[in-house]
Amino acid sequence: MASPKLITVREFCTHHQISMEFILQLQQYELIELQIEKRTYFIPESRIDKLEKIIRLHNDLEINMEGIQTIFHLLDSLEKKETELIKLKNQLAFYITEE
Amino acid sequence: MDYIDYYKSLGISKSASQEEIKKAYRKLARKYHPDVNPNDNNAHKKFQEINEANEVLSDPEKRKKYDTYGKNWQQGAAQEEAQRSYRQSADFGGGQFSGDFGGDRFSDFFASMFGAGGRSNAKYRGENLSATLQMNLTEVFKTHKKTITINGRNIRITIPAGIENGQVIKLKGYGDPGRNGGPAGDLFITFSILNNTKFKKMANDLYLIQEIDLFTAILGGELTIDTMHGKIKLKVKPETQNNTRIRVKGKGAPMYKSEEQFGDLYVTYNVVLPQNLTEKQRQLFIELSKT
Repeated sequence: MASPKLITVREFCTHHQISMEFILQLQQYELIELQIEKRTYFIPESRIDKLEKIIRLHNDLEINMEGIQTIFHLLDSLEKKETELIKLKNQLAFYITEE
Repeated sequence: MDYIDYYKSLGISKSASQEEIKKAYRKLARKYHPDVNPNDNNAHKKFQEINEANEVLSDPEKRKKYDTYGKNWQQGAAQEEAQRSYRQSADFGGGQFSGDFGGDRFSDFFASMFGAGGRSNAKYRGENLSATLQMNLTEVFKTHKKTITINGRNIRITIPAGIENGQVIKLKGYGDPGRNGGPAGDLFITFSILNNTKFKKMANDLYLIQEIDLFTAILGGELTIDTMHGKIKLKVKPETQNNTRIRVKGKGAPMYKSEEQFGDLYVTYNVVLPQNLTEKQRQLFIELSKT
């Protein structure tokens, strides 16, 4: 299996014009996981989407870390509920007899 | 192109202060931000609307222009356009950029009043798009490619076998283009699977009610049924009770992303009693009942 592509935190911060402290703070709040190799911090490419979403929420809406944590928790829960709802709707269709 | 009341968009009065504008924008942006309203097209539209209103009203220069022209913005815009054209021709067409802004973050009204140059240079990610794709159950048995048209753009997608009704697939980068070099948004396709078959589906299993006559039910026999995988022969055991359910392994629906693995087919026997008996048949049943 191919190893995940990694992007250095420095490169990411330069591109998005954000401080490294911000990224480290996100790690402290367990909002993202960073990988450390040879004293360099890396972000797995698969987590970039989530990280960019966090930055947008922080910059556009001025939401602090606690707020972002809450939003992600609620979005996760909403996604699970939506998946469950689709599953239940499909199950319900099984019991509904069309005339 | 209609006039847009930006004050109404933000729910503020025309005399609102910069602080009030900021407060109203923040409040609405938190409510309608696309990241907190995934797959909600109405929220996305509303966010664009309030973003545009904020872009104009939070900038004193733009706000002044907007307030000056008001509902007569078209005349004002025409005048501005004439001036702009004159300037551009003098500058050998040195405008910032132009093009088709269909699906952009700003309305035609905004573009007409403030022009492309009126936009900020910040990099913005394009909007996410959502679409629904209807398919028949028979189509989900194989992975296949389909071309769909979103906002006039043809997109060829691979639909994995076993996709479920209501399932959403994300196509990264197929949403609206980004602004000022920002990345494109994503495209979310919700699948609506229409079951036009005689089978009922639960997860990867299919269910079928099969009628059998009384004699086959009592004496046993063989019958041929149509499945989604072609015709198969079933052996009916003697003295099969009504509503007996049997399992036919591997004749159900495909598992997601694996064309070669299938759920099972469950066949429920519905024993049909004979009708319009002849006198001879009736006598035979009477005889049988006495044994």
